[in-house]
Amino acid sequence: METTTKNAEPIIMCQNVNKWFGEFHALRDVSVSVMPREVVVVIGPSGSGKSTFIRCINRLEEHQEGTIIVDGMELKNDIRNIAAIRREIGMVFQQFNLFPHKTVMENITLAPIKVRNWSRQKAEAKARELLERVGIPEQANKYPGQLSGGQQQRVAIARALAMEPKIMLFDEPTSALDPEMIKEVLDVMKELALSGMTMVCVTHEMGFAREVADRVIFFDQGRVVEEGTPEHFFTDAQHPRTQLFLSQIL
Amino acid sequence: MSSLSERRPQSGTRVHTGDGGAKAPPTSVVGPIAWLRQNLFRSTSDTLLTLLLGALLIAGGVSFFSWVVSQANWYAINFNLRGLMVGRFQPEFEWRLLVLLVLTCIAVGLALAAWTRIRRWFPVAVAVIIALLYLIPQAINALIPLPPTYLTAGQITFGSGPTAESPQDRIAFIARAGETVSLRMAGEYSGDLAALRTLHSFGDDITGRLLNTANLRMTTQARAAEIEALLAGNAITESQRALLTAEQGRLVIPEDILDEAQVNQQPVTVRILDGATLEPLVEGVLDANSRPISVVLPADGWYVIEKVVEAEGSIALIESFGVYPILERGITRRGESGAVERVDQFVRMTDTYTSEAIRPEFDGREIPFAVITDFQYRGDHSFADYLRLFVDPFLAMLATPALVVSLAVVGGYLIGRVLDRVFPNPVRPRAASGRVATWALALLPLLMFFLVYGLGDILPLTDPRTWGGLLLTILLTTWGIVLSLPLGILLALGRRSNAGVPLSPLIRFRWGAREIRFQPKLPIVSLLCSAYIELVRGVPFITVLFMAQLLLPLINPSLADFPGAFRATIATVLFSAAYLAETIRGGLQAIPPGQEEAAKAVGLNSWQITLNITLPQALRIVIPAIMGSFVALFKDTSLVTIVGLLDLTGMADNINAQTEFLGLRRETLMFISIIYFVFCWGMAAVSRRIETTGAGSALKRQI
Ligand SMILES: Nc1ncnc2c1ncn2[C@@H]1O[C@H](COP(=O)(O)OP(=O)(O)OP(=O)(O)O)[C@@H](O)[C@H]1O
Ligand SMILES: [Mg+2]
Repeated sequence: METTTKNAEPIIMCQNVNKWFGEFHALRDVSVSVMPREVVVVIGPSGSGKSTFIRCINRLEEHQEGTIIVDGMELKNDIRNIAAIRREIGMVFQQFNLFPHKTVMENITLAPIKVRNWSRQKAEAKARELLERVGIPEQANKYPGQLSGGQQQRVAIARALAMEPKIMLFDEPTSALDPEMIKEVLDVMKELALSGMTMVCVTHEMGFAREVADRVIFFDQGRVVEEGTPEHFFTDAQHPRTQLFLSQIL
Repeated sequence: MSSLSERRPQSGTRVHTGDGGAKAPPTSVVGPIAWLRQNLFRSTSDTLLTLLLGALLIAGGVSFFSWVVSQANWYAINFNLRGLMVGRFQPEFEWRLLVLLVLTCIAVGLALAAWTRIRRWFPVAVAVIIALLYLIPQAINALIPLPPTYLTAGQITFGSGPTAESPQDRIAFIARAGETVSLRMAGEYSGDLAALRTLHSFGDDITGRLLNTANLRMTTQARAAEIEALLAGNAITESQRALLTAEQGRLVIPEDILDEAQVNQQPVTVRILDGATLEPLVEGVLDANSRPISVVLPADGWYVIEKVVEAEGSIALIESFGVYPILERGITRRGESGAVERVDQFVRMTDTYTSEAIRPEFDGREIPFAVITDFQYRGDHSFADYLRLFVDPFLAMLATPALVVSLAVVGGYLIGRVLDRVFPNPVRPRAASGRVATWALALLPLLMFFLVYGLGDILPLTDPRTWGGLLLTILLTTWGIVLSLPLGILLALGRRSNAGVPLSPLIRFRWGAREIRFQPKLPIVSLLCSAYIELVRGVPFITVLFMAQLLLPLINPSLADFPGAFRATIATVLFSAAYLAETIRGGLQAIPPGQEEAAKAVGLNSWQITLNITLPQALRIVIPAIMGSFVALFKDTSLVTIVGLLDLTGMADNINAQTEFLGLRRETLMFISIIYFVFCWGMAAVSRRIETTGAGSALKRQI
């Protein structure tokens, strides 16, 4: 699918991003770049700003200082820019956030039809292909409320993929799932990573990080504390905060 | 925990291998006796309450039903059924209402096909009910004769001065071709006061007086005898004696015309005349022993009974069969030439047979006819008379409309089924009928407007002042719902717009050392919507109605001609929208923020999010509350009576204000209550059904 190579320009570029919630300084001078086809895993303690960071990338949160450039477009208040960037970014949430009043098929085809102006046939063909890919082709006509958590999350991934995004953001996609279902979602994510999708994942699944991540970023108190390859992290973490955190979750 | 279903391995772990050992519950917890015990007689206080409430229910029920059967005069309903249903809607346009009814029923049938599972017994039950509607009146007609009407003849005067009255020599009545009229002397009552007193049926005015006098005389006589006996004895105190003596002094035993006049002692000459020509059809002399005089009537229309007693001071009480009280009513309508004309109609009370023939005259004066006020059914109705007089005509009127309605519903249902066959959808088998039903229901309010009001040259305009009864109630409700829902949604979205997506530019400026950021998010719209909602919710509906009626012309004098029905609709819409807005806003508030975020993340814009994601879910959540508002709206339409519109309630009031129906307020109120209840119940049933359909059931599980 992807034509860009790993040596091209970064597809996401954040420079000195600052974000406040009222008086609370949630992101502090965050500078992160992500190359096309790169898989970046973001870890960090609760409340450290991981979600805030990746939500800034598709403008679900608004940063107040610094620049965020996605696929060559800068995120500012320009509504058209925001819309264009959101079209290129898919996002998967911890709580799935499927539309409960629409069937699985409608959940997936809604955006391609409304935003990309695809015909219904084309959108449905794409949806079926994606459902096949995430392993639940038989659930197309059910409502989200009739699916298991793992199935719902896979539908959410299919929904994000239906827009044919260049980048996928995952915000703790497995934390609301039972252990049995975590694997089925991770398998889908691994397959996606191997297919060359650019991915930014907030996750505490260290196995996943070790297996497919190109880079791991550790957040603490709104700052990027440490950044490196998975091997670096799991064998040779430098910062004491990182070491403490890893010792707790591993 | 039986040892059979469990093995206990050495290690101390337990493995459950049995099937759980489900057993039937002991009989003490199931069955009707157990139900009674658990629900009604659980404790001493429960038992007492049950007995008390049971006694109250039985007592209330018995007296209520005895009123319904033996005292209530339901002819006010039977007579005014058309008025209660459609008001004074112009008869020449009535077919349009029929078309509307049929279309509505077809839409309902489609909806049934699309969204419900019809139980197998249901069509059978409907067929049986309709068959019964046709058969019961037939059976009642065949088995129960109409009660006789009593006519008095003679040269005797009741009362004195201007109120003095004598029996009419001639009395007119309407009847249909082929009916038999027969007259005979009411022999059993010859001179027998006690028997006279127990007479229960129709009677003309003078007969009523005769019977009332007999009744009063006998009651007073009995009381006088009682007092005399008490005074003669010693069982009373002095003060009681004084009281009784005073009462004795006050007792006036009515002058007994029956003392001078003999009842049914002298022969009476009777003739039945054709109303148009006054030619006698039959003629004869009745006395206590003679056979009845009867004639089969040749044509529909007026007839006259002439009854003369030659002997002075003699009264004849004639029992007549086939002569029934009639009511005169004036209606306005558009004649064949197109001009408005006033027509006098004469309606027979027992079966609403209506004649417009001119009343017969004698010596240049119109012959009196017995109107209902004169011709009251005297005394309590027997159950047979109740069936014959009220149930029979009511069901007979209901049968054909019920058949039409059912056939239309069945037709709609079959259309739905055929659509699903012709356009099969493997995923949702009833998608085709669902789509068509949705469209049909959505188009109904518009069709209702065109059919009831008019559409350019195709359907000439009707006069909104003639709309009334249930029709007006339904119009106000339907248009109220259809217009106030979108308005309410807009108001809710408007009020929430300051919490919505940033559509306006970010304003930043420095205040000392700090930077102030400010993003106005459509505050004007939000403010206006909030102000409107709070203003309207702070004012009673009646006030809004009056404003629509009285203040509108002040805004622009031309609005004075704007029909009241439309003004009331506007008032209803404006009022109801404010409440709906708050309900819907509550629903919007209840949608988890993740929904909007997910929608943004896939690239939908704010309008697409509202229309596809938040609003549909919010509406679904608040369906029960919205339906509650709609039911309230339906009932609140009864307030339009106050501004002079004759909706169902207004029509009932109007009927009760007419002299013929004075004192029948309870009957009309009872009847419209039943109609209101049936509609409200239906709306509630629809609401429950919507809550559990399709995504609704799945949605419930998730939220
Ligand atoms: N809408 C908000 N308003 C105010 N403060 C917020 C808001 N969203 C997040 N925060 C604060 O910002 C900080 C970062 O939150 P964030 O959700 O990014 O943490 P996180 O790293 O994702 O944590 P977790 O692992 O628990 O999801 C937290 O301290 C949180 O309290
Ligand atoms: Mg988070």
